Amino acid sequence: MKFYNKKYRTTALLILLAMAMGTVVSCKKALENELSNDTYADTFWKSGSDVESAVLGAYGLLRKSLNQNSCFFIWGDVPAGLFSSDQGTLATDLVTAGSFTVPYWEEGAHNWTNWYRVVDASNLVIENVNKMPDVAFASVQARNAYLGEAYFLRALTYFYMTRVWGDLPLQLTATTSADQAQKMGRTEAAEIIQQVISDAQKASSLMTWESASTYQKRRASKGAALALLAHASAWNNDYAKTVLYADSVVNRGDLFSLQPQGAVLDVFSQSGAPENIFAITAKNSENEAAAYTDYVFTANVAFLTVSSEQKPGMPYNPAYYYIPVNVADNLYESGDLRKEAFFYTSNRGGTLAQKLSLKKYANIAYKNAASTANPLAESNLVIFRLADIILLKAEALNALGDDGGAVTAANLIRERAGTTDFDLSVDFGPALKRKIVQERERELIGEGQTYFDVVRNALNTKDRGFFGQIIPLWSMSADRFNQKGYLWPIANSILNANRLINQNPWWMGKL
Amino acid sequence: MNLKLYKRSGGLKLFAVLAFFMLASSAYAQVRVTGKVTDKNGPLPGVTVQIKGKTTAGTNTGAQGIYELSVSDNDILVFRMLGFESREIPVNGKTVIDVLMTESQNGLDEVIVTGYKNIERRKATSAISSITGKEIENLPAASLDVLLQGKLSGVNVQNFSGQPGVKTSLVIRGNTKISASSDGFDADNLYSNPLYVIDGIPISDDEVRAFDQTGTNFLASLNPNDVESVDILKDASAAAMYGSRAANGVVLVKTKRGKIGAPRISFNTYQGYTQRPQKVSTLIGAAERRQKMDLIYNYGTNSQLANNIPIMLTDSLNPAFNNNNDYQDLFYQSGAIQNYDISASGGSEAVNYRIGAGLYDEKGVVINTGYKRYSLNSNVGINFSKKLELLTSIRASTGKRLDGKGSSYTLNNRGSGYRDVFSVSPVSMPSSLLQMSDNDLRSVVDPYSFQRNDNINTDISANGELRYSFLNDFRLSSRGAINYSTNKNDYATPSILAEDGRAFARSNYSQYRKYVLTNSLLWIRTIAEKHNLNANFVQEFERRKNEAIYLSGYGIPNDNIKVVKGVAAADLSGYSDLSTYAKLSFLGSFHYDYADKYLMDVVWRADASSRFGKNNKWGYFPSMSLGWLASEEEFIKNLDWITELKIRGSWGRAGDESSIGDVDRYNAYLSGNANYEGSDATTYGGGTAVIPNYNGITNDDITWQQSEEWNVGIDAVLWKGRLSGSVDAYTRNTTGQMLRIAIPEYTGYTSTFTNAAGVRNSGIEFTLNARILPEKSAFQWNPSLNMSFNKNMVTALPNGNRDLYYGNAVYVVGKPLNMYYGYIVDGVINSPSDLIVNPYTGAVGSTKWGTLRLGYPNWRDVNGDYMISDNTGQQDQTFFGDPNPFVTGGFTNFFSYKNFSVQVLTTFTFGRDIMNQTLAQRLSNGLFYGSASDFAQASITDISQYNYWRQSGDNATLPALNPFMSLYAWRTGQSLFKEPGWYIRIKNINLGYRFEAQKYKWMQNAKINGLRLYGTIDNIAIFQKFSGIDAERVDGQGYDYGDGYPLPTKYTLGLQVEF
Repeated sequence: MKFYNKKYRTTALLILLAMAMGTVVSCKKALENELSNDTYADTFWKSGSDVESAVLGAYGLLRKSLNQNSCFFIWGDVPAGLFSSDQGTLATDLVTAGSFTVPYWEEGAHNWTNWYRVVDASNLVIENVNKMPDVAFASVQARNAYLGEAYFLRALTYFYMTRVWGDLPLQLTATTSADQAQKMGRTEAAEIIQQVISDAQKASSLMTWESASTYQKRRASKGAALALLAHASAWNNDYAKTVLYADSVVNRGDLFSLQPQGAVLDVFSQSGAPENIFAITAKNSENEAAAYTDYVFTANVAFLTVSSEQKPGMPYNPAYYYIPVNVADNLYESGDLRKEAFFYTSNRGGTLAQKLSLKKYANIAYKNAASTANPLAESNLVIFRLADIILLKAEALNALGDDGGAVTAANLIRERAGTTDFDLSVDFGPALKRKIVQERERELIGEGQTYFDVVRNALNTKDRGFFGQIIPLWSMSADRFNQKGYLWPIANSILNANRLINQNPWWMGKL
Repeated sequence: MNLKLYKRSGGLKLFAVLAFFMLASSAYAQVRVTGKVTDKNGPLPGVTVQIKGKTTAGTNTGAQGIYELSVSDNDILVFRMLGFESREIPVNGKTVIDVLMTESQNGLDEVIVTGYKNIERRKATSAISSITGKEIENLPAASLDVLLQGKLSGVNVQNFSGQPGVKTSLVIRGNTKISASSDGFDADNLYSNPLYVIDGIPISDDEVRAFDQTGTNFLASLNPNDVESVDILKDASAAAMYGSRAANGVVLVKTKRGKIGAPRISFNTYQGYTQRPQKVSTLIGAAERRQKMDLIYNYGTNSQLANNIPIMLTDSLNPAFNNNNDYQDLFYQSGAIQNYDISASGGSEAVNYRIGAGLYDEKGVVINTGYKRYSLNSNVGINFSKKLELLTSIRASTGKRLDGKGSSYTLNNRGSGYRDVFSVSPVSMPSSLLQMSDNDLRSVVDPYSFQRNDNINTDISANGELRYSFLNDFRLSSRGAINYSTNKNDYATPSILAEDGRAFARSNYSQYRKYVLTNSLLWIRTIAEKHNLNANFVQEFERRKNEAIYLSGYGIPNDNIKVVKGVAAADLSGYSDLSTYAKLSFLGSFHYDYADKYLMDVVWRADASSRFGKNNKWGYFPSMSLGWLASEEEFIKNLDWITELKIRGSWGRAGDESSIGDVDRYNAYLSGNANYEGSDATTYGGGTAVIPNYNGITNDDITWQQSEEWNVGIDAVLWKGRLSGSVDAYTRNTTGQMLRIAIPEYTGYTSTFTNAAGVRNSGIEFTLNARILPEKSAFQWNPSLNMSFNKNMVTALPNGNRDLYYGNAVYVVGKPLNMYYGYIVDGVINSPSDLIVNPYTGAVGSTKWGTLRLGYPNWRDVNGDYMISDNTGQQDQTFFGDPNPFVTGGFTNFFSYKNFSVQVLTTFTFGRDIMNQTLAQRLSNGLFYGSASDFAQASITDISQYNYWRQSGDNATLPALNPFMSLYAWRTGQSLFKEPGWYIRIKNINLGYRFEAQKYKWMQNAKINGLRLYGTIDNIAIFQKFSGIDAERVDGQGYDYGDGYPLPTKYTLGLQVEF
């Protein structure tokens, strides 16, 4: 036995050793199994073009956030009471009762996840560009521009979110593994807006003016950062800064100038239009246009506001959200060219002719040009344009007591609209403020601004009556105002996942 | 042939024999023994004849059943053949030994061949159930899994679809799956899958699912008639040999190999007819109109009757509204089935071979469905010498599956799984009154004359194993296996069928390549006669590469073109894909028994998988089992009635890695991703956009899902095989199921994978086989029954055991898997006393849509707030019922009289609830929004058979069918539709008659050795309390598939000839 044992052992060991050595060495690498059908964190962030596509990814996420249930429109325009709908209480409760529960639109209107993806994508760019050597980029300027865009996107995203939800969890670092995801509560809105301003200032100093023309204003430039700063300062009730920032944009007439009379709608078809400062594009020629999702609640704003008579293939006539003709008559003085320019009136007469549809999002392409079965929405979402900044400056000057300057600024827009100038002898003080906000409403209708204009002025003047002055259909009760009922509710799924996040007080128990 | 590597006789004698064999082999008296081996039908070729305890010495009987062998005087000869009881006959000086073999009760080989080592059935210490290929041959089904229903204890097969060539469910010892795929919840795929090992090549469901294009069952690539045996490793001690993929059991499939003897050619065919299935109840034409008008008049208020009666119902003369389409008639047809097998087999001492070819062709009972397969199986063994042996097997097949037209023909996606074979779903048909144009009709009924839809799977696998025996006790073997599979879907639809008038074509192609290298060293030894030892050391490396190409284009210039060609760049899209997998394993197993009485097995396996995070690359899977062959004890040997009795127990741990994909552990970025609602944009502003994959973030700690299983069992053979059976009790704790857990959304991510959930399955299962009549009787009746009782329970869930809601299923710790989630309904509000009233205010309770009224379902106000709602804070939906069967099993009766044989298989499932979703959908069709025009446009079932609420004073069991009431009153998620899900199915009856060659001159003249005629009826009848069509046809959640593929009745006639 013993004799064999030894022999067996040596033989067996030798064989095993040979077998094991042979494969262990060769399969060590196979077990690592590198990912080859996608790029991933460890292999990315090597060159300028990597950063370029990551920045574009962040813009893409911003476009997705704005379009989710057309939330920019649901937040900014529908509660302001101008639009109306024949599609039942789901569509009209928000218009007539200020009901922000908006069934079926909640994913966009209440859930901030998409917006935090823009934040995370921007954080990734900021962190990684800072780690990359200069030589990875075409120039130091290019590197700074990417950083600037990332800061701008983060600032703009927080600015949208804080206007909608107020206090927010402040996430300033990128998340790259699950264990970095720590629970945190909300940071005060006042701190958030400071963060927005500081990010936007960084963006402004890192970016150049010229990038506005390089990228046809579909990407951020120094001008876009300054426009954001003007808005954020106004939201922060720091109107002096607003004037400062607005002026620095207005003064760059070589880059930003008002469209000529009759050509305002070009800002929706051409991102590079002189009046645009920053717009989100979705060109069919670049395969980025939006088709109808067969479900109105998730459809692009074009399918909500453009009628099938106006553009064949659209799902509604009258439009899902239309402007009743009496509302338009009230809003626009006779002779105001914008009523004709911004709205489409049905040729069919009757009640249809009483329901005007918006022309701003009527740039429609078709998948098959021969048939009109599959319309594709390709209008720009205009984030900032010069008219907006000029009117914001007017609002700021009025707030600072310079009604003369305010009227001069506002009249630039009124003259282009072919309507009468404001008259300083009647239009001054709080009345002028209201008129300027209404002027913004007339000019920027459908661009996601009006409701925020109302909230901003009500907060800055600490006067909830402002709601009633601009929005006649529903009123902001003292109770609602005190409990921040002007903010939007936060999705229950977010509250459920994190006990540190509380519902905005007015909406507690109302979802 | 397999070397019998177990030495069963006493060690010392063997040692002596061995010693003499080496030193002086001629010193012992050698005699030559000859003889003839027969069974009751005549000479039996291919019987293995060996000397007990001397596995290297042996021979096989030749064509006439004759053998010749040199033996010593005191040797014992062992005669073995698959399907026959083995015989042991001592030589005792005889020189002629003729043997009569009898067919064995279960026809099982005495050795279970795993991929790594052979287990002697008698000495097995773990729970294994097995059947031979004979029991499943010539049954009309495309794949093996379907045929295992009711045959094996512990194996629950539910054929929830009768669609030819698709996978249904085969679950071993209870479901453990909590859906965690990145695609989300898929009710069609809610079962845990075992690991299949076909001729030593392991294949798991998750590896073929990645990049799958055709939806064809991968087991359909194997011709069931090529199968020699199927062994199911149920407990962890057996399955632990397969380590990280064995947590849900292992199915070992062995294909037929050649036997020593003259060449045999066998030809087999069956031809069949498939009955047109039963239709879902619906009313057609005038009957529909009458019934709808009746409901409208019955429920309508004055103003509704004045203003809201759809023209479609009143204008019966309008040719657009006076039709009588029976949509189901358009889709259902009678099917046909054909199968041909031809094989040649034979062998000598040096070479054995079996080569088989097959053709299976099934035309489905739904138009444009079916499956056709060509297969080839070649198994060749070469013995270069007594010490060096080569075993090869090659399997090739190609199959084409037609999967109907589906409802989503204009989209570039395949429709959703098993249900989408109808262009018009039988549960939500439009009104029969509507007119269909000739083109509509043709495109629905005859899509394949317009469209191309080819689903083609091709599989080739080959393996070769070289075995070298040395130093008497050792065997070294090295095996290489390759597997190459492709599946391909080509689809083209012309412009005339497209809404936007643009033709569409798609071509998707996937390819899997896998190789497995296995080296093993086996040592067998018997010490001092009584100590039997064997040990096995295995090292294995597996590597797989899945590749895919996707190409599609809109606007194909001409309808004649059925490929992606001539498409403008903007309309062309496509990409290719790649994922790889690798695994390195080490396995050690050890068996010891003392005097064949006290048995012990230990297995230890270590696996490193490329799927797992760097912190947890290796997984370890130990197991141990003990057995006591009580029948070897003297005091039991004295008992006449006990032939064999074994008591065994085992513990072990096995793993599962199916819930994580090949590359899920990477923090991937999505390239070309800038989509938003309504757009699949890959760019922003024309430049490529890259974003992190926010579907989930990586976690470096993810590791194996593990199951720990205890098993105790008894195997017994009584009265010399008149009664035999086994009982097993087990409990299996599966932990670390990979599930998504929520992480704060301000990171951009909402979830991550983690090993968070757990499920426990425990149960008892038994098998009983009996031979009612004595062996000599010409009439034989052999019944066998198997039953498996199983109970499953969720033991852990992510996020601190918070209840997990997935669609309309719910998981709660302490409750079974996949419970129903919805409203509890206590009948109908028949009288005002049934109304919920708030005692404080006196107000009648309400729903989200208004106050409760007579005729509404009597929803239970679970949270006591006098409000029936699914809003947060007002939630009245709760969980109820259990879709998991408590008992499943089968009852087989085999009768034979002379050359006649009849086999009847009955399968059953008891103790589960199912939801009559078909009824819910048929009754709610068109009622959803309470719009009379919706109601007019939808089909209606014959409601006269139901007791529904019509007016106050009724004592109804179903709520009002009010076309104006939009209450979601008929949603499926209500206990109203819960029904008992038990069924007993007479699964099949087999009749056969064998012609004996000795009796018929013409057979001898034609050199026909055997001729058998047979007939089968499959799916004969079902007994159930369920009011729908088929209680087996339910999804993993227990919702029945009224729009699923029927399980039809098949009639076949067959002929088997051997030359």
